[in-house]
Amino acid sequence: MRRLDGETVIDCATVIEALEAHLDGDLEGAQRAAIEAHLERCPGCAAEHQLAAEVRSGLRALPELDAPRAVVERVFKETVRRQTDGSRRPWRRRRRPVVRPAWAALAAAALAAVVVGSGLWLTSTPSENDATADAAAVARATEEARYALAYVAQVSRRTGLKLRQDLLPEHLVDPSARSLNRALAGRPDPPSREGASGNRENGAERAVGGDRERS
Amino acid sequence: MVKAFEAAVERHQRKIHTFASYYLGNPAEAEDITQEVLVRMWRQWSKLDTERLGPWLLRVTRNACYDLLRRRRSAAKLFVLEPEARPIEEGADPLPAVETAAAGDPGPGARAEGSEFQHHLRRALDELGEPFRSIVILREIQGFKYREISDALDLPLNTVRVYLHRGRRRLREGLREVYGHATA
Repeated sequence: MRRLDGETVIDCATVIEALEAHLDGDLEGAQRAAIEAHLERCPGCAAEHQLAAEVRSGLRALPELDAPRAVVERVFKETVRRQTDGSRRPWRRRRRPVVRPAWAALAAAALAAVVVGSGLWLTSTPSENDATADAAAVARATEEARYALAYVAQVSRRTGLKLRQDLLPEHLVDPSARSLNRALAGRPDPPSREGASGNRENGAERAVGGDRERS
Repeated sequence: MVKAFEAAVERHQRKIHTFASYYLGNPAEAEDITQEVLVRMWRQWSKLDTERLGPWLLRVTRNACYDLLRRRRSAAKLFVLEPEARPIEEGADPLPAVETAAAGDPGPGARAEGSEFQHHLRRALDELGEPFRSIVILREIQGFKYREISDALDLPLNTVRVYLHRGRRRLREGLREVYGHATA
């Protein structure tokens, strides 16, 4: 980079290099004067300076964009729902039976039933919650998969490109199946793909239902 | 806690959505990223330093957008050109920003200005690589200060300035083809 000197005629390359800094007011004194002197006598650099100024002002004229209200509402719904789920305690759902002193024996039996039942309910309720969460997660994943496939089809139509069937299992199906199986089994993803091929028989096939051919 | 979070959402949603919109050039994806980032903020709400929420959100948004673009480019490898289809230009993104099909949305900014120059500027921005794209959006469109960008992207202050200038220069070079300005 050439050193700028107010008494030196600077070349166009140096001016072009310094245009953005000049527009931002980062140049001072002799440097700035040299640039401006050059711009006055060089139509090419002056045009480039004009374009640079238009780019800068054009960018600054672009508006900020609020998220659609529906997006914000979905976030609130997600967070409120999670807050509500988190504040619930399974044992609070169950109503405690009213025990009458006059029915001591029956009350004892009832209390025993409550204790046993609560134990069973405490162990079953997390599963029920998990089942509900899993169903919701599966529904969401299904929706996202549909969206992804629709997007792929849309791009294919727009660009005239065809999906490479031979790469689909390797780049899309198998990695997704492995990740899914590990997520369900609570295992982390392997660090490299090479180690995953051995899991194909008990991983990808099981998760995908053995069907790796896509039409 | 919920009230504080909701207030933060209202305060920051515009910045997140604006960045995602211009970064991705796709309104639907920008909405997805916005929602994802805000939900992630909720998940970490108890651990976040609310005084540094702005830089954290910018960083998370930018990383989410960058990851999405990488996935988009990775998906491009799965495609081959149909023999009867029009050829894709050399170096062009085979998966250009897809406008919302239903609404025919031209993308952010284009509606507001509607000028040809703005249209070409937006296209040039879509072609701009990292880290220039992030910095140009944050500085020129969203008006963040150099220090805020430096903090959000974890870059030295002077590096932000240099990258901004280089980014604008690359935009200029992209537009030169269209407008035919003379070069030195």
